[in-house]
Amino acid sequence: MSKPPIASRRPIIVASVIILVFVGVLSRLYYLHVYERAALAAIAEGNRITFRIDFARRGSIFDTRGNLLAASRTVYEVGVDPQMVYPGDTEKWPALAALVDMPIEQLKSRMLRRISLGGSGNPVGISAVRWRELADSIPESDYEKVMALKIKGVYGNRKFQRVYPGQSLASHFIGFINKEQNPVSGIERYMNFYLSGQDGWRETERDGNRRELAQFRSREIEPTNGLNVELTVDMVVQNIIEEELRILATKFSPKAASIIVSNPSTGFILGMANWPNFDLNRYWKYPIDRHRNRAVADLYEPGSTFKIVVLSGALEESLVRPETRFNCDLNAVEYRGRLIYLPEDHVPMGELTLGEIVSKSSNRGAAQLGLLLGPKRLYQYALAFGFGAPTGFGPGGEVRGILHPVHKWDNLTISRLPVGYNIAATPLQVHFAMSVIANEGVLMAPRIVRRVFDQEGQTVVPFSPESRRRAVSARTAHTLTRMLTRAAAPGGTAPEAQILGFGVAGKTGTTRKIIDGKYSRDNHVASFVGFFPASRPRLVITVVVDDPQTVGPAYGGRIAAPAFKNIAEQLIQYLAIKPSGPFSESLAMEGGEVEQLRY
Amino acid sequence: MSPAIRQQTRNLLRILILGMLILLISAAGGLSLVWLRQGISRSAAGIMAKENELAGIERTIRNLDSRIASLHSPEALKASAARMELGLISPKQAQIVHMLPRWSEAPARPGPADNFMVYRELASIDTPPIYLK
Repeated sequence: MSKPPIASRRPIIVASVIILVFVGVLSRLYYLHVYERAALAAIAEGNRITFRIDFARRGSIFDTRGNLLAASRTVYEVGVDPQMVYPGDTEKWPALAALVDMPIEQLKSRMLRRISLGGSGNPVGISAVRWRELADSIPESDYEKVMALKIKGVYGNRKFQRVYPGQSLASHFIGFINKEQNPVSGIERYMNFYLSGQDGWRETERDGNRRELAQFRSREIEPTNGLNVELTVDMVVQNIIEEELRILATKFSPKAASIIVSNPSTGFILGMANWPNFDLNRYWKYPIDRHRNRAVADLYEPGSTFKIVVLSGALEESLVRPETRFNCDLNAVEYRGRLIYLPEDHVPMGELTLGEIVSKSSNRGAAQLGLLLGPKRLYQYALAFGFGAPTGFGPGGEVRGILHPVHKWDNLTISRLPVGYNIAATPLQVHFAMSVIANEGVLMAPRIVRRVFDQEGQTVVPFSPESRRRAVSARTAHTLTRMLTRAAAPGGTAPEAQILGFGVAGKTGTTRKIIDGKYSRDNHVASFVGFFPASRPRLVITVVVDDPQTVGPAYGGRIAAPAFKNIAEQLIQYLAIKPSGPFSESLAMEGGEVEQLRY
Repeated sequence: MSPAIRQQTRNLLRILILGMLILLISAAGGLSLVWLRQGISRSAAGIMAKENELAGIERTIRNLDSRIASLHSPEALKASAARMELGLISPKQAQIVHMLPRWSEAPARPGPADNFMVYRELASIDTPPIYLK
C-alpha cells in the first residue's frame, strides 16, 4: 500500500516556507545592513552621539570700587511639548500658570494646541507642535518649583541673561545686550571682544532617555568665560550726578541735560549722565531717543565756555597781559580794512581787564581778543583744545563736532567764534577743553575703562592715562585759572558755584538756540564748566542743560552753576577732597591802562 | 588499566582542566571588563554629578552676586532708607571741619592721590569751616 501523495509533499512545503522566511529575513537584513547601511547608521549615530555647545559666560562690568554694574545670570526658558501633555496633570496647571506668570486660559491654550496651521516649509500646512514657550526667562529657584510639579512635557532650557543691578544708573555708557545676545551700545559693545569669552563644546553619547553617558565623552573643549571690565566710573559719583539731573529736570523741565565729572590729570571719567535716561533691564520699553549718550552725541554751540580758548590763545601768544584793558562798549571795530560789528553784551560793561572779561563774560571783550588772535591762530587753538575732532571716547556714539576751516568762514565768524557761536561741540569736548586749563595746559584723552581683568582679578589689559597734546603752556593755564576763579566768585557770572574754602574756577555759558532758522530769545542752552580746588585741581565738572523752562533768560550761572555746586559739595565729602584755602588774588584782577590794540 | 589507557586518560584530564582554566580565565576576564566598565561609568556619572553640582553652586553665587548688587544699588538703598523712615541726609558743607595734616605728616611731594588719601573730618558741627594749620 503506497503512502498518500499529500503526506510526501508536506515536508517539502514546510521546508520551502522555512527557507522562504529565512530568505526574506536575510534579504531584509541585507537591505538594512548593506543597501541602506549609510543612511541608517547615520540616524543611529545621530540618536546616540550628541554634540553640545557649552556657552561661555559673559564677563561682568564693575565700577572703580568693585561695585557690579553688569553681570550675566542663569535663567530658564520654560516651554511645553503639547504632544506629551498628560490629561491627568491638569490640576497642576494653575500652579504652573502662577509660576510662569501667565493667565490660566492662555496657559491652557498653549498646552492643548498640538498642531500648527500654515508654515512656509510645510506644503500641507499642518504640522505637529513640539515646543510652545511658557516663559522667556525665569530664575533658577522658580524653575526648580516648575520641575517639582512634574508636569509631563514641561521642561526648560538654560540660558544666560544680562542683568544691570543699577537699572538706569549709567545706562548711556554701559549699553546693553539685546535679545539675540548681541551687544548694542556702550561698554558692552566697546569691550565685547574681552567680555564675550569663547564657547566650548563636547561630543558625547546619550542613552535612550537622552541622558548623557559621561563615560563616552570623546572630545571636550571647556568654555572660556569672558574677562571682566573695570571702569573709571564711581557708582556713588554717578548716582550723585544722576540725582542732580533729576532735580534739574524737576525744577526746569529741560529738553535734555548732561553732567560729566572727571579727573583732569588722568582724563578718567568718574561719572557721566544724561537726562532723560532709561532702564537697561527694560531697554525696549523706552523710545530709542532716550538711548543716546547726549554727552558725546549731541552738539550745541558752547557759547561763553569757549572763551577760555581765545583767552588762552591770546595769553599764550603774548598778545595781551592779564592787566590789559579793553573797551567793551565798542559795538564795532575796524579789522583789516573793514568794519566788524561786535556781538552784544547783555549790559554795557565799559572798560574791562582780561580777568574781568572772563569773570563778567564780556562778548565784546572776547570778540576783540579773537580779532587780535586772527582767524588762523584762533582756529589752531580751537583744534588744540580738542574742538572739531572726536575726543576718543571709547564706547562710541561720539560725533566730531563742527569747526569749519578758516577758508569756509564768513565775515562774522572771526567775531562770533570767540564767544562760542559758529561752532558746535559736544558736552564732552567742552569738558575736556576746560580740563586743559585744569591740567596745566595738557589735553588728555578721556578714559572710561581702567582695566580688563580675569576671574582671579589679575589685570590682562591696563588702560593708562593718555595725554594727547600740550595745548598751552602751564603758565598760561595758571593765569587763566586765576581769572576763572573770579567767574565763580561774587561779581562774576556764577557766584552760586562758589564753595567756601575751595577755590572754584569755572566758566558759564548761555547760548541761544536756533529755532526756525533764527537765534531764539526764549530758548537757551545753559551750561557751567568748572574745576576745583583751583590751586590743585582734582575734579572737572560740566553741567549742560538744554532749553530749561524758566522765567527770563536761562543763564548758565543761574541754572547750571548751582547744580555744579551741589555736586561738588557732595563729592568733596565722598572723595575726601581737602580744602585749598582761598585762592591768591593776582595782578590779573588789578587792572591797568587801556592799551592801543592793533588787530 | 593498562599504562597506555592511563596515559590517555591523564592527557584527556589535562586537556579538560586546561579547557576549564581557559574558560574560567575568559569568564573572569570578561567579568572584570564589565566590572571595569561599570566602574568607569560610575566614576564618569559621579564626576558629571559633581560638575553639575559645582556649576549649580557657581550659578547660585552669580545670582546672589547680582541680587546683592541690586540691593546695594543707590536706588535700592534710598528706597530702603525711605521705607525705614531713617531720615538720613547728607551733612552740609558748613557742618564739616577740615583738619589739614600737620606739616610733618604732609606728603613730601603732593601727588594726584593726595587729596583722596589724607583727610580728617569732624562732622555735625554747625559752624563755618575752620582751617587749622
